[in-house]
Amino acid sequence: MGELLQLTVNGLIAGSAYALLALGFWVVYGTTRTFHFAHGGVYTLGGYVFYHTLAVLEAPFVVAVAATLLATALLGMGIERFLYRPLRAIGASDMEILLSSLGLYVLIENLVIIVWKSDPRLVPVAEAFQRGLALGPVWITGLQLVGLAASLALWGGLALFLRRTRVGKAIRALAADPEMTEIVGINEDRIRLVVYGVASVLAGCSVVLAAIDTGIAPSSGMSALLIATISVIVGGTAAVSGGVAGGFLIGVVENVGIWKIASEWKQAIAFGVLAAFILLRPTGILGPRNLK
Amino acid sequence: MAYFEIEGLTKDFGGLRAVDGFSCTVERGKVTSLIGPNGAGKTTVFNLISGFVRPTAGRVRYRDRDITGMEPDRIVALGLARTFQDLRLFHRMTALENVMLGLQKQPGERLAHAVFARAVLRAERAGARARAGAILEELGLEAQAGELAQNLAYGEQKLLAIARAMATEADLLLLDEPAAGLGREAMETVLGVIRGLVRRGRTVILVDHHMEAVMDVSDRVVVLDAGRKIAEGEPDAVQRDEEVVRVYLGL
Amino acid sequence: MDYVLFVLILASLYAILAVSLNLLVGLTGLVSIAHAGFMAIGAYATALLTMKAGANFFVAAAVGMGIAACVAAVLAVPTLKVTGDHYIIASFGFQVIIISVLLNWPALTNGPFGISGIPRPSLLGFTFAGYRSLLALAVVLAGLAGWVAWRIAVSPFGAVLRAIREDEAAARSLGKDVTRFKVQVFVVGCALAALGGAFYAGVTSFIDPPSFDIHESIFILALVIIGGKGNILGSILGAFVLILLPETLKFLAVPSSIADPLRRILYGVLLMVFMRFLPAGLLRERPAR
Repeated sequence: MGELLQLTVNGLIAGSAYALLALGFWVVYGTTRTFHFAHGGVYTLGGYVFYHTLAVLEAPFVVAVAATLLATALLGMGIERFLYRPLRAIGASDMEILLSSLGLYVLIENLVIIVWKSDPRLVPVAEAFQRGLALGPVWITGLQLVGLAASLALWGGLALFLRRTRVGKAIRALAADPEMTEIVGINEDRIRLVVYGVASVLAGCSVVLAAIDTGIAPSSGMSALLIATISVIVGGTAAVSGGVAGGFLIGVVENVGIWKIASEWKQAIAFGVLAAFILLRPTGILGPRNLK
Repeated sequence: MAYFEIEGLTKDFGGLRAVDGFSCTVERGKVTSLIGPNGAGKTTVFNLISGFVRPTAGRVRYRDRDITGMEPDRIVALGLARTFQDLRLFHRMTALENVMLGLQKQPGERLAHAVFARAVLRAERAGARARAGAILEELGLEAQAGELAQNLAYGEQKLLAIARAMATEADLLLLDEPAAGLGREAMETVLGVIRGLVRRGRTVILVDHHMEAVMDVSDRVVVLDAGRKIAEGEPDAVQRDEEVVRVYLGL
Repeated sequence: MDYVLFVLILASLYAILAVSLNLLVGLTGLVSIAHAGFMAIGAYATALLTMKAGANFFVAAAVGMGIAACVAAVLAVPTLKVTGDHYIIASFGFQVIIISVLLNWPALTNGPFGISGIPRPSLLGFTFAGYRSLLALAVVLAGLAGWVAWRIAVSPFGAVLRAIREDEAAARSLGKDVTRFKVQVFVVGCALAALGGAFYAGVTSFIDPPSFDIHESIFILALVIIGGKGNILGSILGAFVLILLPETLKFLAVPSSIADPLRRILYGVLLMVFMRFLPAGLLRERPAR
């Protein structure tokens, strides 16, 4: 019984990380319907910037984090400005934009391999983070607590941003009705830049937390992207909370699942959840967006 | 046994009841029109009849067969075909190719036949091309046969959509706004096509907003408002019906 | 000389994979990134049957294709309701699951260590041992796959696939059983991928799960897109161009550790460049007659 509880807690921890990944992906996908495959590349590159700044250049932790978030934001916005926008301008189809995104992802992943080689890199971590604490019958590390707190805080922050700020509302307007936004005077291109900036910063936060926990490898972005997209699809694209719900669900199912199934099948479990949702409830946990 | 019968058809979309207990009988060999203000549920009725949307309640019977909730392709096989309000032509195919796709039971659409029966296929395709060409000719589109559908004028595209549905050799045709957006001449052509279909024993149900055209070509008119039938009868009678006038003008 | 032959064999192999994926992606609009997974089914089936059951290569390959066809048929059904982005993720799922099975079933597949010593194909006493004979076999198989794909593409069946790609509801409204068409083309495409995998096993003598991972699938997709969606000859051209082009890098004395990533960067860049300037690919799709 104690084991199950521990696994559930592990699941919630993992779920919070997945939820954060889902948030980042959703900010682009849920609002602009662009399948931003290159988001995985932003994640990976951010991770290596973090590693390099912290472990190789030996800069202070805060500087490394700042550098990471700056790098991811610039890269993400650069992708929108120099890859997606020109494609939209020539009337490229969704599939063409997706394939471009895919190509860019491949480019980034392999550039990373050339510069940093393909073996995973570990990040030096403060002792305090790794120490386990006993909270009742379960063990949890300092890092896991920080990760959980960060995910929840960023989720709350994003929700507030979308609901309370002018820019946030403009983003929601864009999500609901792209054609209206130009008429109402919202500069669609500028809003999109903000969307990609926010999404990339979220990815940066995710990768920093993940890198401290398990290091970084060239394929990290692909795995992260996968979880993010599954979470968003399972949770439902209608609102921010969808991806979050999906992320937590997958985290818990994966970790509780390995109670009975060997842990190598973890990734397959996530896809199993996806398959179940596609078959039974394609619109996700939250259900469909409210159509006019 | 009625030729085509709708009984208590109801459709809810979440909290919205788009079609409410709609019942109606359609006589064979006649033109029946479904009219009503915007949002009255006409296209939804079409979608329900043709299998694209599942009804919440009610039945649809065609030639004594319950087709409620059947898949669209099976309904076509039974002899009921439809067009779409937004046409849905295959824009990157030619007019001829569009019509050819309407032909039913093409052996070349079976995988094994397509790959291995090359010689036989050639003859079959020639026959198919001829039949499709004949339909295009009947609608005055033979000159456009080799043109991509996206390059046709709007009026020609509307005719092409009808041609494609005619290619299925359906006995009952549902035409969704066949006259909308057309000039006088093009509209006359469409009405002529509809009359021609009826002359050949086909049955047509159409949805349209063009009052004049509808009244001109229909044998029977059914009026829908907010998903409910409010009037039904011969065109003259319906035009004078108080409720109908109120619904159309009193807004 | 052997090296040139090997590269040509590889190009022919990828031609099989590209034309079969083109049926799915190009003709029907089903963007699948699971093709390498089905390739793996063919490769492993062939390796295991020839080595453990002493079967003839061609028989083993046929069985492999049959297994791939069955798996495809089973997987096709749930994904039929799914469109666009969701479909891609679902196909990603198949890919991951297939590789997971290969990695985590060591009793059958030797897990991450792979299977080595796979015998060369043989037929009626003749063994395709040298590269010359293997190339001949490769060309024959590629020609076969290309022919089947081409027949489908120019047939009424292919016309329906294109209609489904453009507007599924419209195709339904003309009485087309869209489900049947999608399942059938998916099964054929995946069976041909398995054929490619079987041949790959016979040529390289060693297979392991990473040989068939998501990067392979993306590479095959890139071949189809760059060669030209919906154009079968284009897929063959794409395969030859994208296999031969990076080989010229070898002459630039590039260290082997970065040869692979560099090759992948090349096709990543090509994807982006083509989508921007030549989205129809090298050879555009020509209408069926």
